[in-house]
Amino acid sequence: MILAELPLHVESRDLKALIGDTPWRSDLMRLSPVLAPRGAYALIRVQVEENRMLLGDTAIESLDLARHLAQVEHAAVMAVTLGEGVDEAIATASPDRAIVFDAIASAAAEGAVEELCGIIARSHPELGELGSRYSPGYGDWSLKDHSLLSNLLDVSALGIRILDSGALVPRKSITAIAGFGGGSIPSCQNCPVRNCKTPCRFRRV
Amino acid sequence: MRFVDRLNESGILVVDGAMGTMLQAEGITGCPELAALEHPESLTRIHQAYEEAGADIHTTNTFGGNRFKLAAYGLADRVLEINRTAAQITRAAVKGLVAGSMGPTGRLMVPYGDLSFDEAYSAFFEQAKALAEGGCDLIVVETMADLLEAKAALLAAKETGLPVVVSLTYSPDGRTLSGTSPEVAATVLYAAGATVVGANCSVGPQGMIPWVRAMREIIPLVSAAPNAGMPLFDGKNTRYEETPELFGQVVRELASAGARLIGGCCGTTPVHIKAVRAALDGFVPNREAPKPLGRLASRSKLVSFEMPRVIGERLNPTGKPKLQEALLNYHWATVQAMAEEQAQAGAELLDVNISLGEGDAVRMKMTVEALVDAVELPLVLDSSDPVVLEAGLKAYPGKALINSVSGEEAKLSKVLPLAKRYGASLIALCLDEKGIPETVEERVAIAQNILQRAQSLGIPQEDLYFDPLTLTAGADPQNPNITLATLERLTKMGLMSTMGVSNVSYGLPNRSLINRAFLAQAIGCGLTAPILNPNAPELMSIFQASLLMKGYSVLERLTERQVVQENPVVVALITKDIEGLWTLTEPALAEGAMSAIDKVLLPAMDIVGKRFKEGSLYLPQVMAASMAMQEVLKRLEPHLPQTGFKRGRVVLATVEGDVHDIGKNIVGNLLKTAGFEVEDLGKDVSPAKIVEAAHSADLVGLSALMTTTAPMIGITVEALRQHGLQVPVLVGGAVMNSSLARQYGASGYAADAIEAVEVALKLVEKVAR
Repeated sequence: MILAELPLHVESRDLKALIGDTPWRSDLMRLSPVLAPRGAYALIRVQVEENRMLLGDTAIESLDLARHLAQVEHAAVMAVTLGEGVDEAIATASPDRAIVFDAIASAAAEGAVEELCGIIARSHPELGELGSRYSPGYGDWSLKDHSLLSNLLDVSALGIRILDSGALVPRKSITAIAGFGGGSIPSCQNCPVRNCKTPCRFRRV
Repeated sequence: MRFVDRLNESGILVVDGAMGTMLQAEGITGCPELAALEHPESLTRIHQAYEEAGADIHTTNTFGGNRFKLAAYGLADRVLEINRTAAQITRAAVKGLVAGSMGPTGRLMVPYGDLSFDEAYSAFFEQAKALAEGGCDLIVVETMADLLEAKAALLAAKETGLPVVVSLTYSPDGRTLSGTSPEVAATVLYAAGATVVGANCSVGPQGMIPWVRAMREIIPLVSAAPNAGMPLFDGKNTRYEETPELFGQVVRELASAGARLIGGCCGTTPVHIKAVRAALDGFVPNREAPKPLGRLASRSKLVSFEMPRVIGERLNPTGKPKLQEALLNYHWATVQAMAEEQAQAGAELLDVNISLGEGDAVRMKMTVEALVDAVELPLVLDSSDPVVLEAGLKAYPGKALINSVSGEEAKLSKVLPLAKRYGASLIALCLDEKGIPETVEERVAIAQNILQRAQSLGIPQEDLYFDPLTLTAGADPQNPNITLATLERLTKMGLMSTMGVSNVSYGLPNRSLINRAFLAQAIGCGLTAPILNPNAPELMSIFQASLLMKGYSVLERLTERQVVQENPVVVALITKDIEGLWTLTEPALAEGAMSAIDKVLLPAMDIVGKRFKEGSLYLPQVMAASMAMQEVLKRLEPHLPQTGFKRGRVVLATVEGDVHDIGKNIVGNLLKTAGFEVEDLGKDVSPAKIVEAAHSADLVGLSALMTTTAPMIGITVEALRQHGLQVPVLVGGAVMNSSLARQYGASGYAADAIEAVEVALKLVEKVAR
């Protein structure tokens, strides 16, 4: 498993979607002392067979994930968190500021997982291109499988706890899996088109 | 000036790499700066390794050597000793240049935190002085995220007389945390006296190329010190992504982009620096000076005068009792709303005049802090008192415009040095001790005198905006003509200009028409920055149309701008202007408090709700409105009848297993605003607890965000019914929908907080019947 301190990366397009034109820079500054983005990843082998799927040695039941990883041999399982301090700061802020804090933290968590994907992609060019991310809770992949993911990646090393419901604490934490190679569904994050027809958050034009 | 000489004679100066990781490799832990006293031989070894690798500039091990950072190790009283010794060690270790390193204090400055400019300045001055005494050739202020803190460090470092390099750290999106872009930093810090401005840390060399290029378009000397990529820890060792070879390859591109000082930050080693040296061997930099251009900046926005820009004049208490009252009572929401209104109307700079007499300096400081937090536009600090101006300049992170200096000796000798010290531009009035001259020649002569005096202090021409002075045509029909002729002369001399427009019609009928004609002619004569009321649409449209006559492409501006008159109650609500809201509510009290609520507040809240639904307002504004309304409701309480403004009692909870509560909190807040009494049980709440609290409730609200916790809503509803509680249940949350809500036995579902209030009102009403 590889651990990394991640740079704080907040994209204004992410915040625009959440809070429109509300000014947020001052709040990012105020929140910054408690934002500690960090992440971890591990490389695993993926085996998708007719009626089961193995991530490493762990069997996962999810048709949607199986479809997502159908042609994939190698994948990276990853987790990021912003740390405990953010939850506390959001909980104790005044209601209008709490919304902005929460939106900033959501954008920072997205930014962190993007940074981590960048590191993974750059570190393992031999495995092919890193495809798009998939997380428990997407499609039919149960949130409860967060606990299965923890067999593959020691999320506790990042300070992440998994509740029985599958909820992650600290709240601003993300886990995901992304496949390598031509068979994986391409990630828009590294998309060379930049202005394709489908609007997405990575669109540059 | 060894540094400046070396810079002039050499192509590119190579700066050393990381210190922290090198100290770790030497086995040194604890306070890194203490190494100067405890492990001088290690520091000497590291500096020498970088010199062998080819570095020209050697950075002292004093990054955290300010009193705030050292206090964490109980060393706050040893700033002098630590910094001086570290500089002496570096000096003795190498033949190259020694740069005294100064990093951030680690404290947040006002308005984000409580560190004042003066406190920051004095801490940096203490450190800079010790570094200079230790024999540094220059000071490097680095890894700054807050432009104001960087400025405080720069001004303090300049006091030593040494050249100063200031380097900010940018997030991958190209902004510092507080929103400063490289262009803004270059503009502000160069004006404030930095010899070099640059970027360090946070990204690898590739990521820095566009930032360096952007800065080099504005200033001649740029530095870059990238990381060796991201630090990765495999459980035993930390390694950095970028190999020295890769690092060296990209560095040449950094040089082509315009960096004249190149080094390394986190993770770089002498091996990286050796690669840098090799890559830059024989590189010939472009020494061409950037084209001079008038530029002003806020913390986050650069405004440059490649075309005329409007200065909004409304923030001036003369003849505005409401603004006077707001300034006297520190009601910043009112001031911020006036600023925002002008920005919306198309002003690109804001004049800030707070003159009320006693307390102006403090008022200027607080006003600037309030505006910096609320509007992006650069500020024009307007006062005749240098003390008031300085208070504003200290609080201002950007490059301000001072309004004003004149040809009077008393002004020149006080205001010019202020502009120089804080890196501000100036409005220069064409008048002197003898008053306003009657002829064009005399006004131009004063302008020339001010220009010379400014240049002798090192203030360049592009930092001066000359005001030819506008007098009313009512006093003498020749007045406008003299003003315009002076303006024309100033323009021919290549000078920028500014002036108030509306004075021309003082005391005359049909002022608007005269003002418009005058503005159009003034733009024709080359006026750079008209000072006017941007809220007057007829004036703004003449301004835009006149720009078109001068060949500026502003067609889209002419068509798009339509200032909609906002409902003042709505504006007060969404800007959380409680005083303003109270002023608007109070008159309705004559008909009773319920009437004030029903006729003033609720209809406005209704508009807020509608605008939220149509997507023109977002939750933070809705929340601000809700909080403002609650404050006003509190004030109305004594006037309400015994029954009060009460809709019933609501119990709210996020269900067991779920920890997401922000949506529920918002609903709770809005329900309170709508007159409900709310008991919020929090998150991860068991059915048993909810049942217990529900006994006395008129409504229960349940929230679940996750697919795995949604069924808990069904379980909770069942528990309520099993205990014989028929209280209506309202549910919501990301994974809920109305059919799922029905399936779980809920009485109602709401997709968002505004809808939650509507549904809650219906559910409670139904029960009441």
